[in-house]
Amino acid sequence: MKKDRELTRLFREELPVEEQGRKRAMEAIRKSIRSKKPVCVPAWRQIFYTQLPFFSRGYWCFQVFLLLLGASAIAGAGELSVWIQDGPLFSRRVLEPLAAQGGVPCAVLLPVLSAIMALVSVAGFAELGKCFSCRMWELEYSCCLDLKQLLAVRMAITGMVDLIWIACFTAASLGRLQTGFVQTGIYLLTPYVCNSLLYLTVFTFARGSGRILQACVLAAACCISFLPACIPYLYEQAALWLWLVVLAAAGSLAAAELFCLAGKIGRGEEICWN
Amino acid sequence: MDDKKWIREIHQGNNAPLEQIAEKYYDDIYRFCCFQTGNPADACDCAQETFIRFIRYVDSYRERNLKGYLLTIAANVCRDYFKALYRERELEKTQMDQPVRQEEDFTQNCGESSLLQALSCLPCVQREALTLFYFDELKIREIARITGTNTATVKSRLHQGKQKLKKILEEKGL
Repeated sequence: MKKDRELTRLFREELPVEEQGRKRAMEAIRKSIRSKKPVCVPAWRQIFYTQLPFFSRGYWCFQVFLLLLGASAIAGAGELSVWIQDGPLFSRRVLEPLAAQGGVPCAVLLPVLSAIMALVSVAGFAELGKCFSCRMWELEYSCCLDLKQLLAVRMAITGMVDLIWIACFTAASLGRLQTGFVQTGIYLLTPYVCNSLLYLTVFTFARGSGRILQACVLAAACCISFLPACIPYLYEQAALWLWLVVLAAAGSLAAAELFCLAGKIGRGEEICWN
Repeated sequence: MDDKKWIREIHQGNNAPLEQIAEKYYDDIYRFCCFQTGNPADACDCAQETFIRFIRYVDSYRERNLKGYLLTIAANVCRDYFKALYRERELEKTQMDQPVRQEEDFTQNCGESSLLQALSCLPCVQREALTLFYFDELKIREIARITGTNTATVKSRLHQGKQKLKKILEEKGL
């Protein structure tokens, strides 16, 4: 659109700024600046780099251990199958339909990998639990830090590590399983999301209730992680819809919980000074 | 120092650049408010309110164009100003059983400035678009973002507003 020169000139020429009014307004603005509480809002990248060293060595070691465990399970899928077939979990009645669908390794490797993924989630949330713990948020808030931003960055770090693990496991097990990339991903992601949901619930709704409760949840989560491994029928093609339903439900609940948590942090409801 | 550095400093907990931002942009915001309200005294109040709102919300500021952001706040402040004025006048006129329009408030405000008087004959949205285009020299895309509309609407408002304004100014012999 072309500019009309005459109109531009008219608009630019008019209206000198009233000096008295300017001084008065600037004084009010200065007053407002003086009363403003300084809040430190660092950039995402800055928070990312400052938060990384706060992740404990134990967390990284446990992650590496789980990665190696998963890798060795994938590498030794054959031996693992033979060993498990002789175990009490698998009867001929179970193995035959599974063998028809994806081979015995499919019935053995997937439960092991999904249990490892669930443990990965437990490790991540156990680390995140430090920042959820009582007095930690209060301390960060009193240091004028943006809690929502901090939490988002910490979750992004643990989530990113976990997603890399999922991608590695899924890609590495592709040659050994007849299930596709997406299906394997669903099998690995579902226990991970369920455990994350469990932990998120405990750390948000039972915040400050003591370490015993958190330790109990940790133990329960570890047990739940191995639950699918005890029910091999779950890995049959016909039961895939069940995984999808559970994944969608857990994912939606986790998203709703995060949304609720963000709202609470925004309103300052999670901060307790007593 | 440029706006980006100022904002970075503010986000790091230093409030000092807020005053420098106010010093730098006060005149532009004041003039925008003056074109909108038609009254220098009210424009002063609106410009002041714009910066006070900016100070309140600067922690969540993530945009790149600071002047555009300030103009968006100023446009909202001016809308609130008209709403408050409209409610006030409506209350007064209800007692006298006469309807009132937003444009009437502007006409009563604009004093002796010929451009302000001409602008007083335009609807609020066209006045806003013309001020942002001719005075603040913003692009149509930026005006659309500030006013919360699309570029086609802005073009139409500008075209119609320009035609009307030219006609009025010709009639006034300017």
